[in-house]
Amino acid sequence: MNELCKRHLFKLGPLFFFLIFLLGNLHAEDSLTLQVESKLFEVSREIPGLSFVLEVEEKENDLSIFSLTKSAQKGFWISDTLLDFRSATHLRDTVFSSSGIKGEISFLIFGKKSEKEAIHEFLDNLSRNELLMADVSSKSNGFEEGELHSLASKVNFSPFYGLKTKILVDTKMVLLVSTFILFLVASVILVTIMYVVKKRKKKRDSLTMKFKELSFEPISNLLFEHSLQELQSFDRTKFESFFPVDHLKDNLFKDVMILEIISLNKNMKGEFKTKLKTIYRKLGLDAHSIQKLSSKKWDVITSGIVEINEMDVVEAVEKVKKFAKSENFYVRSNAVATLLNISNDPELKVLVDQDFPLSRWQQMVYFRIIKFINNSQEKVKVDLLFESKNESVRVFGYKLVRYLGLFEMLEILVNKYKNASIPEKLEMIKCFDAFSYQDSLNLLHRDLATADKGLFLGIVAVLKNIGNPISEVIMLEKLKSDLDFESKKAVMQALHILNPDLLEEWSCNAKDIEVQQIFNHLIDPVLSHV
Amino acid sequence: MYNLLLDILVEIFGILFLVYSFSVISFYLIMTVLSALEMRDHLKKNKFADYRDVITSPVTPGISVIAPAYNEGQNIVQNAKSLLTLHYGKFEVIIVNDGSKDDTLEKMVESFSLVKTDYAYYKHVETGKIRGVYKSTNPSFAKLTLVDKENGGKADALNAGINLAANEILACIDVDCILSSDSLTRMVRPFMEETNRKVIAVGGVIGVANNCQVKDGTVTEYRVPDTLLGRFQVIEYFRAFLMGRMAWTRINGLMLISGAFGFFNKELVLKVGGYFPKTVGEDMELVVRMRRYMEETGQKYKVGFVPDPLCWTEVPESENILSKQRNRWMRGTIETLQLHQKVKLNPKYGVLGMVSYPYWSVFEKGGPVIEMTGFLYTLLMIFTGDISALYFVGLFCLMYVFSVMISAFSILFEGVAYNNYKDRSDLNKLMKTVLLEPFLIHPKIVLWGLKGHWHFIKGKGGWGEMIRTGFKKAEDKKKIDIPIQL
Amino acid sequence: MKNILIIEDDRLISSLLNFRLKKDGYNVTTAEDGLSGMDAIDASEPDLIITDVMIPFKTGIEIINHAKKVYPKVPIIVLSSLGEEEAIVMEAFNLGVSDFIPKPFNPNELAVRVRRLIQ
Repeated sequence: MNELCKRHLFKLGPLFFFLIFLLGNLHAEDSLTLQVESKLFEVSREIPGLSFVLEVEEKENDLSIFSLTKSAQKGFWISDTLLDFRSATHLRDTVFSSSGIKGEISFLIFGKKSEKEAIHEFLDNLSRNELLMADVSSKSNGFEEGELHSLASKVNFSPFYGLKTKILVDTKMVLLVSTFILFLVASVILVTIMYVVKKRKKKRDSLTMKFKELSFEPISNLLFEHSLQELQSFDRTKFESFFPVDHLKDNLFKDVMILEIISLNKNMKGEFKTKLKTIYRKLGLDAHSIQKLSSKKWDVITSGIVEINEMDVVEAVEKVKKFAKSENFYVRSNAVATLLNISNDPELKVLVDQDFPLSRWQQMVYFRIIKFINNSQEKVKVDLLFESKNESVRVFGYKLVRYLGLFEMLEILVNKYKNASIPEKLEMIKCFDAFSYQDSLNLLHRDLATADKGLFLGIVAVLKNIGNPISEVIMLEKLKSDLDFESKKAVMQALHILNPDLLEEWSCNAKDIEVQQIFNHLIDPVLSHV
Repeated sequence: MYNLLLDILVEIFGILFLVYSFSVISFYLIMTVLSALEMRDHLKKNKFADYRDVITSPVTPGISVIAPAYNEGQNIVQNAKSLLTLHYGKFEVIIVNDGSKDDTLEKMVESFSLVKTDYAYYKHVETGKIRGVYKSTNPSFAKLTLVDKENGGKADALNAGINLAANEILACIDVDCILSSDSLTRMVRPFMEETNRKVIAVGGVIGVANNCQVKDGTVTEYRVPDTLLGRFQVIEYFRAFLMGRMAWTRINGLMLISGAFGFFNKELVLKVGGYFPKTVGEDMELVVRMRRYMEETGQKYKVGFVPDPLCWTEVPESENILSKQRNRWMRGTIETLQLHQKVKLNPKYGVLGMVSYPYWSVFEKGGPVIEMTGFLYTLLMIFTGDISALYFVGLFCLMYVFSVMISAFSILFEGVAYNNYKDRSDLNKLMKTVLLEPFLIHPKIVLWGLKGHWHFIKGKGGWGEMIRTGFKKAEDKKKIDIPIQL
Repeated sequence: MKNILIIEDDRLISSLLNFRLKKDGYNVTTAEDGLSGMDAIDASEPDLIITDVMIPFKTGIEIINHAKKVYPKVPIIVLSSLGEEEAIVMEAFNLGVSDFIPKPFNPNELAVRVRRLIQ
């Protein structure tokens, strides 16, 4: 409640002061009267020069019993001049208690009627000069209490906490206002930063465009006007003469050039690739790419790795190796891709040693690289992947068996099947399917009893392709047992391919509605591709 | 006595509004910083994404695109055709005709040579009555499946599609959205890139297609809508989608994926039981339920988000329709929050329970209520002559300036990230909208939100009639413009 | 002087082809996407068209169809990163495309084939 009061008061601000002034005025008047009266009460004796007269306003009754006489003013009764205040008040009270009329005491200094301020000053003067002394005896607790009460009822409530309040209020308000300002400043700063970022980006983009255009002509020139031998004979200065000299020192220009070269490299083949690589090296851009590996920012490192990869900068392989275990996904996956590509390691050691699980994106990229190597260079030893401690690498290895057509590995797969995990098995059986590997049938038949639905469906899909009469019998048995819809459909689909008559015979006799539905689905010509 | 009570109430309210305003401001400041950081990282990562293998690689997952359709006869054939020509390898398109009263079904059957088949499938999720499953006799349209069913609402239609989906990723989209040809390849990347966590869903961004140059079902040039409401929605798209959702993604607290363009892991969707048809906020409800499941089973997961502009739609430019949409969004929010109260401030649910849920509850759901109360409070204060109203007016001024700053930031944000809105006059129009929004639009939004609360309490449901004007608008306008230019 | 139209969204490749073919004395027009490609087919009178099948806004098939409709005899070379076995490429051949060059390619080889077809 205190805090609320403080805040309230502070909020009022200037109005408050204005009001205070007004109130103060009123207050002042009232308090003055009281001060005078209290002072006079203290002194029972006469005060030299001060006298009192009681004035009572009464038009009808006769107040002479109170020793009052009619005054010159119509409707007023006045008393004799009294010399001490107590008798004046006593008279006033008597009149009031008897007749109910309240009279007013007028003060006279040396016979002249004076205002309260004058009386106050007069008294002040006297007390300063020690001519006025308080009556010790008149001071009693009971008397003072009553005085306090009467005083209290006439004085306006003012805050008890005074100065202490003001300071606390100030601090809180300062805090509040400063928080407001802080918010505004923060938002302005953010907007400014964004604006600056946008401008800078725009500038960078336009520079990039300009550099692209600047670099295009020389590169095309070099590619088409000169033979490979010529290019290989040129030295660095000769190359540089083709390009705008100043820009070659600019990092952004180098970056743009490298990107152009890489882009062209991706789309071209044969002699052109070699030409591009020559340009790249002779201009010293390979040093620029290697330099990027020392950066602290992950995107700079990654772009360096990518450039090294695309341009076959074999000397940098050792430097890239340490990034193969990086925590940052982009650094790591590109480092591994680079090492797979240019380190000429048919044992794919970098993959085998991977600690982190291989994401599908990585598998997509690495498959392309490994396929390329397998076709154009040495055959990769995929079986080494099977021995990796990393499950995702083993799974990837099994995928490669079927993507690359490595049917000679199937024997190994069969041997490993029993101890493999479910994800591994799923890939293995797809390999058996891809190569129609009959030798795996025993394993498949046995695993049809699996509780894992995914594996079950996978095996059934394989049997659809390579199943033999034993498979048909086993699957038919399975149909008779309690299968869920999907499994039923898969098994019926397999049987439909292997032995449609057997299936038809059984389906027509089966009482299950689901079987009927599935059978109708299978024989529907429009759905033959589903 | 009563005076004292009133005084206390007044002061408490004053403090509450102060706390609320400060919280809103703080949240927005944090959001801008988080979203800026996330966007910077995203743009850097984009540079290294090589999409050339995605379409042809055997490692790439298959996608089942599900698009519910209700009374879309005018454009359904065009929309289906554009879906079928998306640049992707292994995918299928399932159109669900949710009991349309117009010629949606007939148009489809005719254009794609569809016939009813004896398709047998398992109903993982209970749905309304299915009248038939159609496939095409033309092998060019082998990817297309049409499900005809009785009307049951969007969630029900989606569930029907999910039952038939054959691939491991679901793409739930609104049939009249324009999708860019590489949208599938880009949206599938978060699913494929993650190594340590399971990506359960990926949300996308839906741009405003009104007044854009749209030719043959693709956005070719970005312009800003003509109406104030339209432009406001463009700003909202910058602020809420680009900035807001990016910020949530950074702390893995994204609780809402647009129903018009969302990708999900099918297996998980089936595990949690598909969409819940009894709510109008089915898109949000599903995401919350999927997140809850992952938290409850203690699995590490992530909800991804791709802010690249891949999908656009025509936003409502008439107050009537927009109000119904906002009303529905509010009801959906309230329903979802109510359904998943268990999550509230429960540390077991991680970011979802401790940050996302309270935020949605207080600021999204409670926002209109608190703002309206604050407004009435200020009016009351002014009328009773309590001068502390000066302080509230000051607060309102602060909020205005602040909201202008944030909106301006979001425009710059888009400019840095994608810079699709290049036209100078368009940007000026957007700035004007930013200045006017707090006065002209925001109060309406608050009112519509309150209406949503009211309708929720009354128990009113349904979608309301949302009229589609079709994308012809921009093309028609062009035809009118040309003679004048001559 | 013979006209060649190149429809290719990769600016670098189209600039490169432009450069190379201009050296051989052809007049080259380029288009970056399906829409401007269609317009260019109508506007210029190409003696040969080089196009990709994966371009923005239109499928390559639509472009080829349109081209064959307007100039039935114009030779078309498809330059694409997709393999020959892809369905879309086979469809292109069915429509009467004269040659298919896979990416990555050899620009000089392309120039040779252009010279052969344009006569």
